[in-house]
Amino acid sequence: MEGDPIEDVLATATGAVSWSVRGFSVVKPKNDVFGQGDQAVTRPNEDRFRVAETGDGLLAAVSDGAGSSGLYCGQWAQALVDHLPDTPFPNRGAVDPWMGGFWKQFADEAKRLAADAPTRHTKLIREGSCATLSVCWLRRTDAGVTLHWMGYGDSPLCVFEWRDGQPALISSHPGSLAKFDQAPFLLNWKDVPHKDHIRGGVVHLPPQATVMLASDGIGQFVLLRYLSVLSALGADAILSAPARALLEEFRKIVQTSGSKLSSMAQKHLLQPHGSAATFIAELRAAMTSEATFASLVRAWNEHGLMPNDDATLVIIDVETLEPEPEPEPPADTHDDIPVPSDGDSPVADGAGEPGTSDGG
Amino acid sequence: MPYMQDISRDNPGAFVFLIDQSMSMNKPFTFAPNGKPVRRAVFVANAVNKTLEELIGRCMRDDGVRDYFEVGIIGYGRTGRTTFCWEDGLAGRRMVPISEVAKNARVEQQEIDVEVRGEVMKETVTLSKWVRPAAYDSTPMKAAILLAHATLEEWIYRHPTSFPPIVINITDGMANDVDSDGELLDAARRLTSLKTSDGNVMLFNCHIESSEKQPIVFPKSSVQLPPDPYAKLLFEMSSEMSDRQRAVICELFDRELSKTPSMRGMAYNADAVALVKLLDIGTRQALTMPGESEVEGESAEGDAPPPMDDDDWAD
Repeated sequence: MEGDPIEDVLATATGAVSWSVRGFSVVKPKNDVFGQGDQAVTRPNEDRFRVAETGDGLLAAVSDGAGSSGLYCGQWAQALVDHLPDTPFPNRGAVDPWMGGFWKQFADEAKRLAADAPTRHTKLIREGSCATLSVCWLRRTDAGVTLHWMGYGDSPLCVFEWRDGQPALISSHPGSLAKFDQAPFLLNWKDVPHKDHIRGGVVHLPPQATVMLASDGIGQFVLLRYLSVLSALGADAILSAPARALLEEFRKIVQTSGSKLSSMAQKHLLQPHGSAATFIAELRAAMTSEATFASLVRAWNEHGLMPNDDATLVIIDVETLEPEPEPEPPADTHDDIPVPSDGDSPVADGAGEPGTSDGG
Repeated sequence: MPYMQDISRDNPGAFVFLIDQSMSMNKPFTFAPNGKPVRRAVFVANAVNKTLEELIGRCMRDDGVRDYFEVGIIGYGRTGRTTFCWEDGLAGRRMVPISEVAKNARVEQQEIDVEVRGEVMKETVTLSKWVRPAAYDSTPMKAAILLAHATLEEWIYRHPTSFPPIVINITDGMANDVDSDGELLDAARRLTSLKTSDGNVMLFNCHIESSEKQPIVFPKSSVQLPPDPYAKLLFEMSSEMSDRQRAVICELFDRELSKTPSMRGMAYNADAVALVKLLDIGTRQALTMPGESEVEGESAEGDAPPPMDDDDWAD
């Protein structure tokens, strides 16, 4: 297993907003072991994630190195999350200049690493290094919390709103389950990012929200599980437009055959279903330790509910607290006595290392 | 469902290339960029070498080449001497794990132009070679098919649950070690009757031709072929494509999948382009590793509009 937990690292209460973050990244359950000389070498996890405090909030990112395309893809995923700016990309056009700031340093180091193996060097020159990237910035504003996001490829980013104790999916990237059956778009240091493949936007978070970032295998699991619960409930009318679109697609997929996605969706539908809140609680429980997370990922894969893939999941629970009513001023209070304001609370010291962690 | 098994180290794939090395392979086939003619044997050897290089590339990871495949190359150009044509460190071997194939390449350096972030740069890369061009005398195709049969029968015994082996036969002429078409067809059918739990051995036939005749690639029926008994024979010998292969072929050749219920793995009168395409398709199916897809995602987000897109963010 890879990576250090960031459990509640940023369990902070800053002004009127509190959030807690859990994140783990583990290598795929049925991993490759191969011979190298007389040594047995285990394939490394190629997912990376990062969670960091920024000046006005939080940054969280997942990058899935595509080991079958190019070389040093795990390292490239690490470079992508490490170099993310503290502030959101203002538009699609900002992504390429950002990559321009570090691609060459990465490429030069990769070429140095491959220099002693001519065929490996050739593959690197021809194919580069590839990874997906999904990132969000949570920013405190006067009106609550705003989520700015950017996605390139199929690493899911989902936003749930809590209504009457139940999570309702209000935003999802990718917007279609079919993406999990296609080769993803990948950021490659060799290429200028294709503007049409860059997704992004801004979501104003409701008072109680859960944001999830994931690599594709476990992200697909989360979406299929959630949609199978919705399908069983049959409560389409109250769904958000993205959730309704995904649910319709889910229902079509379970009626088809021939793809791994449809086979997996059918297995989800056959599982016993609790409520969506129970499912999210199960996910949170899975993330109490890296060992628990790895064990559940293995079990989900063995039951045919999740592809055999490296699994990275970051869950951010956000709560915008109701402002406390101002106390009635005592009769003898003078106007010049300062009243604490919401935005002045210091950031609480989180347990462990606030900032970054990765899957490898 | 057949032809769905993931390729892995526990369930490797297998490729066997059958290469015609008859005298006629000395004939010119195409032209090099400098205008000089390129012989059939040279072009085929280069194309197979390039295919092997790509297979190795797909199996290469940061720390080495994973044994996702075993490969065999059978040359047939001398009656009674049909054999695997590995050389140097692999001489005498039959099916060879891809990592060993990689280790035993003859390597040449070459400077190429590479586009990096929109700019063309010079880089030195290596070209790996295994197959040498050869053109001897006869066309003992049946012997080659029988050798492939014997080899893959044993291979399947060792890998009963693997993705089925793929055999790609490249020839410019008719077999001359048979007394009838039926004899060759029978040998081919015995080869393609071999099967793993995931499906039957697949046989692709590529008939190359230097003339201006129109190549016919992945025909859906023998009616599309010229009125040539040999074309019909190769059609009958060639495997029906799987659903996944048909989808990929229709995508690449801009054919309507719903109107293409069947398709054979063959090319007739193949020119250089058609040969390369057939090699690409023939090896592409098995190149789909766990977690990969054959067709890259097209217009961004599938059918549904991207729900998280925000107009304010778009530039």
